[in-house]
Amino acid sequence: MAKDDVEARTSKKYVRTFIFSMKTGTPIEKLHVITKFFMIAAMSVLALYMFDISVSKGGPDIIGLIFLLIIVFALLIISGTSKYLVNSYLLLALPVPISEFIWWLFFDGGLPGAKVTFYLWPGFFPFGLSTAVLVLVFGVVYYRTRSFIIAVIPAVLLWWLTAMPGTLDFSPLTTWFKLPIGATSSFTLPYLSVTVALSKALGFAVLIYTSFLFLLTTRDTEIAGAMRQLGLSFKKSFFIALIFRSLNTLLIDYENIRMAQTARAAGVNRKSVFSKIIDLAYVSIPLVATMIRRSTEMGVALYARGFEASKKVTSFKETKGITYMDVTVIAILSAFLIYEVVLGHNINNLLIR
Amino acid sequence: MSGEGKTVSNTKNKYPWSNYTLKLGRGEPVSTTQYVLYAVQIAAVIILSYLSVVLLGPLSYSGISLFYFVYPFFLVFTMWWGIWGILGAYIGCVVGAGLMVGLGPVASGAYAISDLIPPLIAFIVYRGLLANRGIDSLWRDLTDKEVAGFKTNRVAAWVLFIAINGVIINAVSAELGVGIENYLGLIPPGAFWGWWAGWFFGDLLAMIIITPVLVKGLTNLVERQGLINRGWIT
Amino acid sequence: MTRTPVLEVKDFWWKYRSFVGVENPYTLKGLSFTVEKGEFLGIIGPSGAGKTTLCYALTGIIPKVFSVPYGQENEHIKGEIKLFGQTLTKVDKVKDEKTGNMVDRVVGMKQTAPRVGLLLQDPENQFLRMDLLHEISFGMELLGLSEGEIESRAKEALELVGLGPLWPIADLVHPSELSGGQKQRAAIASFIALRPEVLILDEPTSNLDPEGKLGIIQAIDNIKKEYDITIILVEHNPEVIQKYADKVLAINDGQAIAYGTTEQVYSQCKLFDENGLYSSDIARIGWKAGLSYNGRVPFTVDEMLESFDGRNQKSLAPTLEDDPIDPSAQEIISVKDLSYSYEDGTQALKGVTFTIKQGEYVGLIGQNGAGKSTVSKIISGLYKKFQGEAKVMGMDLRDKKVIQKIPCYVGYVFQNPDNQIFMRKVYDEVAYGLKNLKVPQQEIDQRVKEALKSVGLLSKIDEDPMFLGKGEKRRLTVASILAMNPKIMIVDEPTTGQDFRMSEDIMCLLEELNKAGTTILVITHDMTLISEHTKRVIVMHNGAVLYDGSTRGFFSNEELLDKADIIPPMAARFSLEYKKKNPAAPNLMNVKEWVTAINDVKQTESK
Repeated sequence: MAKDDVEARTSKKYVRTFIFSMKTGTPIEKLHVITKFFMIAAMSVLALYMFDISVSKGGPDIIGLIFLLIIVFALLIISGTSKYLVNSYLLLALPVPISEFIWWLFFDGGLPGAKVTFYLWPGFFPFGLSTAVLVLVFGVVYYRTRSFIIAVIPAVLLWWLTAMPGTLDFSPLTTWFKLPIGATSSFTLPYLSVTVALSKALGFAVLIYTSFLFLLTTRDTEIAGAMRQLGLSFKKSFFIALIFRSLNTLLIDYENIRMAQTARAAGVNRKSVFSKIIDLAYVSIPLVATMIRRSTEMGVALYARGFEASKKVTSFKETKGITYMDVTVIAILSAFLIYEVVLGHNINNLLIR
Repeated sequence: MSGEGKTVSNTKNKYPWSNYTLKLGRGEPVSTTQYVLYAVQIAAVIILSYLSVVLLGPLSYSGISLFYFVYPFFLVFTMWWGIWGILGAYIGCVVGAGLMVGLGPVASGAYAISDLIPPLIAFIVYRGLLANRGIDSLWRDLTDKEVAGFKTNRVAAWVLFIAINGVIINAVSAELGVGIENYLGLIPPGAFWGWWAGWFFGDLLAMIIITPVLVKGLTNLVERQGLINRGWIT
Repeated sequence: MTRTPVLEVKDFWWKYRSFVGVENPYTLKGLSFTVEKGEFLGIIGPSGAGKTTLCYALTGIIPKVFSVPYGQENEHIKGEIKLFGQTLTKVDKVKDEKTGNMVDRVVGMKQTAPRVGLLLQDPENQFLRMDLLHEISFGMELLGLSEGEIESRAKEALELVGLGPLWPIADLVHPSELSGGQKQRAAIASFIALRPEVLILDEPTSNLDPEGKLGIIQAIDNIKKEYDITIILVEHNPEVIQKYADKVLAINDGQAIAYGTTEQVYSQCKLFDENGLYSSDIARIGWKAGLSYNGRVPFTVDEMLESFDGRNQKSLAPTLEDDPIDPSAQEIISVKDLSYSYEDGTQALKGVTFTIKQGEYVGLIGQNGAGKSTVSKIISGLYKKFQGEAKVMGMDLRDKKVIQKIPCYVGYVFQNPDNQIFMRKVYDEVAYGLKNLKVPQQEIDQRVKEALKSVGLLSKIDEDPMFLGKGEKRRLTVASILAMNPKIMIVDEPTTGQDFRMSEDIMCLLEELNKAGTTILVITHDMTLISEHTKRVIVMHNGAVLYDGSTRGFFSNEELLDKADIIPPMAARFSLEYKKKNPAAPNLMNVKEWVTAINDVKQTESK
């Protein structure tokens, strides 16, 4: 490659993926899509397994799940996609593990065994580390979102989590002063229920962020190439490529249609749920009409390129080779899978013992 | 010029929908336009599946939306496009309501089977069984008193629609979907029936409200362009 | 010197197939013409004339993609098209394999690619791959060329269309990172790489901004110089046709109405006027003012300067006063230091400030990506998270309750009519917005009919909007917003994909609405229409306001025009050139002003 070409290539810092972009030149970018897919498949199998280990086998593997989560976040940071995740998906994705934790506590709260006490209110307001957390979290979230409610919720939640352990164990390091207010209020839950709920929340977090890792670091063009590498015919792999090509265009069409609906006063007056559903249904008309128009024109464009008469189709820079890095990643994950799923070991129990 | 102003009819058979059967197709290969259309509709179902889950926020998580409004879309697409609609339903769920909302490939691939079954059964039942008994396989008799001059039985159409799609097929889908999620440990065992009810009634509501709008708004548009599949494939 | 004909069209008729409902009429009616090797044929005609259908027929897409039913071939196709001396499309007697009888069947070449390439109007629908490199190489891959050959041809093709700098990163460039003009150029490159003998371009610039249009024209120029390709170009812009075409075919309603050299065809101004064809500002001025250049109307600014030379310029009105806006008129739109960034971090607006008074008719112009649509969508309440201040009728758009109610006051007509048609009956479509506003049924009835009448669609009240023509759909979308009685109407690119007459109709309609009291903000790339209908323009450039003032002032300022990358309309360009010789001459910016001025001169002289 000529020097100018190399410079031009290295100047392109980000490349478009399924959602947003990823940094070029990172180890993740160099991985084959099959490796990436194996990675998320393996991690999701591990997550599903780890959070579902029965009590008789030592209970859920919480440390294993935390370990997986750390790996996923590290990979997200390395791939240069974390800022997109934080800006757009963090608020969308965070409620999921939290709600899972709550659902599991609610529906599975009656497991036998030792109980843990949770304090809703310790009978005093602790000034200390927890107060600092409250102020800091509120400040940062409010600065980013300019919404009081969105800032207050995580601030209070984290304050509560920080304050709670230290309330009865008065430590000058974490609680500097106690201001007596109100009476003590607490509840108990079975330790096992809490463990299971926490493991489900962590497991869901692993599932979510691994899926995002895949979507944020995979280019649609890689998938079509991989299909060809796996032996799928050109027309079948191109069909898959067309699906991904259309995704972006249709999403823009959908947004434009919804805006056009808004411009027609769809949101001006309060509407019943039924009317809102009908409005949603009406989106289908321009959407399907656009789909048909696009398909006709794309069909014409394909014909004009010689698609119908094509017999032997050259594979031009569509496939990527499997490298040592791919083999290493697959090997490590396979070993992890064998260790946990096949041999039935449990990192949590291993470390705690 | 000859032919101008003349009405075109697409069938000489008993019912206007008699051309739409369970055969493989027209005996022609998939045209380029159809090839593209099938791919584009799958992309549309992916997007709508994703929106069906995320628009209701945390209430919809575990991949189960309290109002899975894509459901009537892929049902109608299947009645138009056969196997391609069924494929769209499955891929839409795997990618849109699975991977893109963070369920991971294993869970998505497994529980998306619950979205593959309803359109498959509906296509077979309507085209194979009911179409010859005066019930339109394109569901136009839900909204129209007449289809191409043929008087329809709207009451019978609605009764069968709700009984078959709304109750039987929907129940199978809910059982499969929630069952798979429960088996994978994604939902608490104690929540099984709550989730099942959410799935069942959410899909039922979406189906009853949205399907007639789609059918009335679009079926004749698609038919006028010659894009309704005669059989499974073309 | 006669050259070998590459295309011969002989009395060709075509009718699209109907699957249900009423039979379609013939779209092409007995067209006959020949295109020789290396020739550049321009095809012109109003919307719905059959130009795209003709392009499809010349590439074999009709009847391969748009097929005809067995046994009805003769009802759909008549005549013949020959390509490179062989039959491309024709109905002929062949032996039926099953029965052994001689039956009528469509015969001809199975595939025209790669010898013939076809570029379509919409850049989005013909960018089929997910990166630039594979888009260029697609056709070559289908041909089965070797990897080395594909790579060298792809690089060469990209250079030819001015996208050479993207070659090193071509495999990393996603279609969403390319502008419409770049996508079109990529499509041209993908065909050039196949070394076609004939290249057909169907309105390749109609969906593009001025910069995009220029890029395409440059690419066509390069191709013409580099290869001896036969080019067929469907285009509304007469300057392009006059510059490049050897011959022109004008069609209307599927029939040829003129065929010959550019001079022979474009001289027929009356024919153009009767058929809604655009013959350029200069030709129209020449025709209406009775000017002549070598026995015909002038076509270019230089020809016009020569034909107008020697007139008594002192008689031209020294100044032209534009109708001032009533100083007591209230501010209806006010934006101050408006900034907006998209989710991916792109800053679309950087401190935009302007006010618009009640009753104004303002043109919002600028290159794609300048921020025109963004600022309009903020004003209409469609984009919410902005910085700075935006007020409509004194109401602050930062207030969520205000945003919710904004559609009652601001009507936004989007660029693509297909994205705004929600109903299957024209009446219901116009009534949709009124029902959302909870207008009583009786009033809905009245307002729907009034709105449809004002756009000339009352006779189509029971029709299916999906099957209206392009121009009719556009008018329907205007009617749908009009019925809501907005105080402000924002119309986004109302003339894209429209022919001259339809564009004129839309702009005149907006002018009538403006006279009735509606404030109009129109976003368009058509400078001719801006010069003819708006008195004030706001010019956006890189997310900021570059100019806010009279249209005349803008089109008279070469420096500003250059900075904004905007080419003024021909009439205004003529004015600029004319003023170089006659500095005292007034700044005339459109056909009407020039014709009036020249006719005034004539009257003065005759006295």
